[in-house]
Amino acid sequence: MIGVINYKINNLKSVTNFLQGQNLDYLIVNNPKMLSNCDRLILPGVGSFGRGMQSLDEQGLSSGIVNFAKSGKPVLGICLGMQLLFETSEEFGQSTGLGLIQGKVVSIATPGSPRVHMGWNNIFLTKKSKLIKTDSFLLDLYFAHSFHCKPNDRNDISAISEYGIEITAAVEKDNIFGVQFHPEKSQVFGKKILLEFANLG
Amino acid sequence: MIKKRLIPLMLSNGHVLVKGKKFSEHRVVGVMESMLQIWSDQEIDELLLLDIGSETNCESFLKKVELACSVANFPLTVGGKIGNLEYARDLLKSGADKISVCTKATKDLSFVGNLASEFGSQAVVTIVDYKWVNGSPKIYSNHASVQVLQDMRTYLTELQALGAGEIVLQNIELEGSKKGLDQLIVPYVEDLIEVPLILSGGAGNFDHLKWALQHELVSGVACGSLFYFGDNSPIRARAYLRSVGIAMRKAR
Repeated sequence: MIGVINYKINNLKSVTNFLQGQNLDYLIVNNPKMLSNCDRLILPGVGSFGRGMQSLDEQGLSSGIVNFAKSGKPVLGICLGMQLLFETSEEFGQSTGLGLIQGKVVSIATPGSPRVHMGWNNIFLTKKSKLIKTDSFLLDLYFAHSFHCKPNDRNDISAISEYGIEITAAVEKDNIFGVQFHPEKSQVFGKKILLEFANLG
Repeated sequence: MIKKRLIPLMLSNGHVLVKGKKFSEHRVVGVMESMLQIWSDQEIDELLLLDIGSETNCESFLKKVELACSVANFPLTVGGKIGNLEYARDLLKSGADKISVCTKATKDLSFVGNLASEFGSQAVVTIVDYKWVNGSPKIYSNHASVQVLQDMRTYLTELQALGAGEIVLQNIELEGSKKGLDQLIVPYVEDLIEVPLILSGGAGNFDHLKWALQHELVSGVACGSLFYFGDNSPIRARAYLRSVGIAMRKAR
């Protein structure tokens, strides 16, 4: 059973429609008690960091998710969900995240390059990944973000993308996974990645 | 490398899909369900869906967005009549990936800031409708019917400062004309655009797309008539653009 975390501010439908289309069982998680029925978790995207964490705290989900992750069950953060896995973010002032991966979330702004990374971009694997098994530079994934993750340990990065600067496209640390792109909106390539997560042993 | 985007424009009048010229003379071009299925099969880069109906009850449009999200395998930007955070949130909950604002932003710039701090800049698209009047572009609101007095360059700078994640510049007089995209607007805004820029209005053939997408600054083109009237498809457009050296996604 895949738990899909509900922040109450965001679009869950893209993810749940995908899971439904693949006949995968899922549960929309609104409170920490529901976590015990799940064997893996997805934290979907959309929203600002501060509002996302506020919503998790209000629902008592923050510590629940941290404990869930510490039990060794797979957790996948998508876009904002990936960023929430980190310790802090500088989006609209400093905010504290779940701290499952050491590091921070910073703006991608650089002189001469747009400060929102929006659209389809290819990725480069930086280590062997349990989720991303298609090592093709020809395939693109859909990104929509203006902040990205900077892990303290570069070994936590599993894929990067290039957009004026190096963008952290995916992180992977034991049972914790994060993707900055939207696999649920990335057609064939994205589908493969999500199916790998759904089938992790 | 980031790819350029081709963004079909879908206008709903509350019942069927329409496409017009200069924001009027709307012709029916299909129904949403079948058109979304076609776009999904063609693996389009993204869709811009706008509610231009006269109905003030937004419930039925939310249902349409829900339906759109259940069919679409591509990112969905949804707009039209967004005047408060609640409705924006309802659209996102119904399945929109991004929301677009136009008229409300011209009346209350802080609304753009509120949207960005609530949903993140990446979810906030601002559409700027304009006409060239006496040698400079003038902003219009309320479906191209009301001229806004604010200076366009100042307006664009403010939108970005408040957190707009993307800007769509839509030339009202070229809309539906198939005469080509506005060649004058890119140099006019070039030095101040810091977020992805989408041009809309006038794309009538693949060379028009090529002309616009060649600009480093232009992230994408939104087009309606090109795909609704005639036998052109996003697949063919992408293949052509790739063949002339534009960075486009390799879909099927």
